[in-house]
Amino acid sequence: MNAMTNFTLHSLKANRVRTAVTIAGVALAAALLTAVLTTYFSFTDYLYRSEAANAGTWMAYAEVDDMAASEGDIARAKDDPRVTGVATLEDAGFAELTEVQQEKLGIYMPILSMSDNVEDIAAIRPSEGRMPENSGEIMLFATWKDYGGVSLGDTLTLSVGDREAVLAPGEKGSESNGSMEAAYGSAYNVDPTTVEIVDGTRLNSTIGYLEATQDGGIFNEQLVNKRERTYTVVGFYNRLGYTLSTGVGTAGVTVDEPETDGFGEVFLTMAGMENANQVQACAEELFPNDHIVLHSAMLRYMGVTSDSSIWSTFFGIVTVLAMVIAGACVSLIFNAFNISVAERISQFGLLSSVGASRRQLRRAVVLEGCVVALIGIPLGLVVGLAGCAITFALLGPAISNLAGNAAVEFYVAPNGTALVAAAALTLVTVLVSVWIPAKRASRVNVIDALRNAGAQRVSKKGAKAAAKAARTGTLWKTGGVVDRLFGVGGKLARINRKRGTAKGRAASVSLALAIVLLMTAGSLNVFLGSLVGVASGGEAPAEVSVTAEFSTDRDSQPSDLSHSEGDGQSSDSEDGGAGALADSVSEKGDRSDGRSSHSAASVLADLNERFAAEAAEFAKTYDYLAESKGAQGIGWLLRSDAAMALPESMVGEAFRVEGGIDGGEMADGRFGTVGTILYLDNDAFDAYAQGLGLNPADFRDRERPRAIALAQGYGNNGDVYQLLDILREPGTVEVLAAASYKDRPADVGIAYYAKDGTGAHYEFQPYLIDDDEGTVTDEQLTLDDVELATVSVEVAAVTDEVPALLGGPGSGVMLIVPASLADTQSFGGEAPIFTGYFDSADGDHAALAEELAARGGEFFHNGPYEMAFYSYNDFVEQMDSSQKLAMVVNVFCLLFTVILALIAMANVFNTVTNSLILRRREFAVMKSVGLSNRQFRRMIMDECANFGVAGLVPGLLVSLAVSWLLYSAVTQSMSGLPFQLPWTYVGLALVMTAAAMAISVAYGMHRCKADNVVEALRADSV
Amino acid sequence: MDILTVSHLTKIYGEGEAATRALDDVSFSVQEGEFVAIVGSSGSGKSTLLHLIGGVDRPTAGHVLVNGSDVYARSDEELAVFRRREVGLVYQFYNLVPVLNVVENMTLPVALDGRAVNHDRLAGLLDKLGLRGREGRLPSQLSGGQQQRVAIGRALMNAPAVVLADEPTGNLDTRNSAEIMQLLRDSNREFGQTMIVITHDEEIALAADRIIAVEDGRIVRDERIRR
Repeated sequence: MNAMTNFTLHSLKANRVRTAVTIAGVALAAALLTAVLTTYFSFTDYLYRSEAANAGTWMAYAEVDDMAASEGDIARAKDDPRVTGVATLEDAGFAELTEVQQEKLGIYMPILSMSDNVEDIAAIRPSEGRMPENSGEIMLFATWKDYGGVSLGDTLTLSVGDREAVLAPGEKGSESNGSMEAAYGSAYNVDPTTVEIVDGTRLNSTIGYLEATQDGGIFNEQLVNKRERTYTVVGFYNRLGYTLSTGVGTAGVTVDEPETDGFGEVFLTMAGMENANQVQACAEELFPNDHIVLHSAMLRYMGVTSDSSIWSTFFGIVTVLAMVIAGACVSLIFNAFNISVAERISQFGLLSSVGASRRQLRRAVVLEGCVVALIGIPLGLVVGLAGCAITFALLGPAISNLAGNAAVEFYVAPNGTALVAAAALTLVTVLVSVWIPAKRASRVNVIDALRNAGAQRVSKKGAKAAAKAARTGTLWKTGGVVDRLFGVGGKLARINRKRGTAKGRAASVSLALAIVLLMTAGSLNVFLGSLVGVASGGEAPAEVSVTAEFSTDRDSQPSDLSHSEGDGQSSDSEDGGAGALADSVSEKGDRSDGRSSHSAASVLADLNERFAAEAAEFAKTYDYLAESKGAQGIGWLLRSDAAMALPESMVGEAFRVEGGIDGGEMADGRFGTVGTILYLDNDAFDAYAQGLGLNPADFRDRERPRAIALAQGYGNNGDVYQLLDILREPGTVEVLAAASYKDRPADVGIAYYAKDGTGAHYEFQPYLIDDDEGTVTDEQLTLDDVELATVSVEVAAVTDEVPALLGGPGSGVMLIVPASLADTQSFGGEAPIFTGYFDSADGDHAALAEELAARGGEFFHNGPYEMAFYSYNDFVEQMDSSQKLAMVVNVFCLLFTVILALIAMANVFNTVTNSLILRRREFAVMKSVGLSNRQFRRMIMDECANFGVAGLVPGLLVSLAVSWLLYSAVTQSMSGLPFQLPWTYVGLALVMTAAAMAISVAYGMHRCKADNVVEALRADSV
Repeated sequence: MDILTVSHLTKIYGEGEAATRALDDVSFSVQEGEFVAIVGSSGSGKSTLLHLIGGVDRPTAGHVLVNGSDVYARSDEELAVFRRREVGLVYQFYNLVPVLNVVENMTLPVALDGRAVNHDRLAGLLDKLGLRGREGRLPSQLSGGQQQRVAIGRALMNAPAVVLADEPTGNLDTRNSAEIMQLLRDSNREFGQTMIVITHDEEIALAADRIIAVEDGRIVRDERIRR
């Protein structure tokens, strides 16, 4: 070991505390980077495994029109070194289904013959039973068991044929038909094959059912070449992945089927692909004549391509965090070494005087950095990885649940790249931080260093200022508030600042950094919090809810009223999970009225009557359920939809932007949409209104309805979450409650049409209900054709406050009224959706859910109406997982905040203390000529105030920028989120930096205390 | 009249085994206008004595009376005031504040005291110290001798009860040393400034009215020089 190395290690040992702090700083940096990168790679790995489990590992497939003819291609693919796996699924005909079967099971059952390892490659695997092993065995979709009455071991004899297009009567020509994959959106390559169809075209399983009257095309289809096939059912599969979703029904899977149609799909997995284009090129090369579909989701998770929005968010956040961490560490480590060098500058002078070369001096400092890195980085890698392992072990199941695939476990995937990147990034950070101090050490002037001369203390500008200040009139000239506040001490501080070299800058920079770090943590918290809040659908209002709707089926509803599905109204009740229960309950409730003609007013009167009766029934239901064993009623509500027109003054941005809400400006300047009327039970409504400072009694007028409306909503267009600015001002809404057309009842929806020149792109679209079948007829009407019955609702207040029962806002206009209004006003709603909320008295929410399900089923069974649906929802079970996600995010944010705060504080402490200690002797001199402790304190306070201000402004500016970057990252998957500064964190940042500064100053002053004056004065250099 | 009385002054650094008795029961008095040289080998305790008289340290035992009042009966805050008004310190290494120019360094005690600068006295001192024309210089722009002149100017600016100089010529060449000593001597004669100087230099010591020799924290010799 040479002398310089020895010297370096010795000095590291001698400054044990600082060395430890610096190593800890490096370790923290490495740990944070490791954690961030490992999380990133673990998620990628998880998503990859999840996608592999859901859809298979295939990277691309070729749609081969004639499998027999392509046998050569397939064999070639199998031999190709780039291809790691090949599996095929071949159309083997379509089994005819009975009409009853068709209702639940699809139009046909396509028979697919598989080969090779489809189980892994295409994720076709049994949930029950086993895979078929010969052409006499078949595996069916699980609905065949649930609804089709088929069980394992059954023998099915099917009439299997081929589909053939037939021109509809009176039509001629051809049409092109898009194949299935368009429906699968961004998960797959959206470049659908279009098939040219002429009379007699053989249709494969990717083409949807052709029925001219339904799809507006010119073709029907028929099954030809029918033959009888017999299969033994050996298994069921329950995940309808892409590969088994055909255009006409759920497939049955067999093997080695001798008679096939020719059409087939060849799934490929490959190795060594760097991007999607290579995959595409490889597949195209192997199957030059066939259409290639890429498994984009898979490729994305494999890192082969990246284009999803949530992914950009994730990547954006990771980048910003890594940058902030690196920045924080550069500052911390730089300061630590800078201080180390500054304190030892006379040592370096001494070394230089005995012949150490510049290079040797520089290397001594760099070596110091390397030693620190050598200990700190491995420590950080271990800590970071261990931290991830522990966190993921605790939260993994929740994350798996949330991702919707509990079967695929979420765990740490230690990734070499992540570790190497974290280590390299930290090492670079250390070396960058060390470089400047090292240069400074090497440039040391022997004499200056030995004398520890104050030459560098004063800047050139400072010298000029000093010369000016010598004029008689300006000597110790004071004035102004600051001087009075800080006195001579402050004056000295300011002189020092003005004339000194950049000593205070390090402290300001570290203060600025502290603010940036804390604000970053804060922004992360705020924005991620919103994302999680939106994604998890808000707070649960109760432990369990039950949701029900009475049927409007024509057969049991002689009142000729109708309610149409699919008119753009969102039935986004929170019945996401949970089990659908009893279906049809009763055939009672005949209420013939024999009316044959309808004015709009009479239609509305009928609706009101029916609605009031149903509402009353639901109120009874709630009371009955609340009496269930262990149940505590929390409240109930009814939802109903209605077309409505709003004045321009009321509507928010969501009405004007594309992808906002379903509705917008109409030709008359008003804004149309289909909104939700929410009837809150009277107690809940009163509490809600009072909470908003409104008088509940104002909303009880049955003839002139008033409502409270929600200002905001959340939307999710499948790609990004949106925060919707729906309503802005109170006003009067006109509800288009009912309509009639030539004495027939009609309903009104909202339709979009393209129109140039004006902003108006929406209009109300009346539609007729077919009396017999309850379906919408295709008669095209305009508003002028029908007679309308409207109801005006005065929106008395627009608020962000969501009623407790609702949990979160909806995706459109929501008008909230008391349940008492249901007695007289249906607003055209026919069958309200009831939701009752209950808590369990003893915490056993699962039992309560069962109990409510049973009691509710029984109650409705004995009631007057047939049920459309009845379901329960165990929020606790659901919320557990979203709460865990929120917890993951919170824990992550908290840890991040704490660690960043530690780094920031250490940094501030280092620099502020250092700036004082380096001037210890100067202070001693001042004290020896009569600087009192009070004056000393004022001087330091003045300095600190200045550091503070100098750090605060750039700190806030930079944090604003960082906040904005994070915000941009988050908004990639959630639009409409308002940009906000995390004010609590701003406060926290200020308090914490002030505290850090106070501690540093206290410590620094302590080291410069009067007892040490003699010591300091004597600390004359050599 | 005794302007300074030191009685039974003891200073112990450290504790227990490591305790060093820097001053051991030292007593003496100094009359107003006296020029006292304190001599002694390195580590004899003479600097400690000077610091204790100057109010920058606190004794383990004993008292220092300046102008009849006990220096160490004061609080820290009062001690600071004492240092501004009653003593002027001159060090071997000048100990000027690097960011302050010549006049600011000289008038720092006045400024700390919150009083107005006596510009006539300042001008007089600048002339006397040969610093005229260098008022705006910073210490780093001055030679060692000039810096020491500034330090002396700072010590004299307030006309303190006693000026304490710790090896004021220790860092200077012969010519500068002689000039600095002459300055101290002159201010002693002209202003009747009480002066206590620590020195190694026998010649300088001989210029004083009285020589106090310190060894191992005790006064071993205290003699007045008759001229």
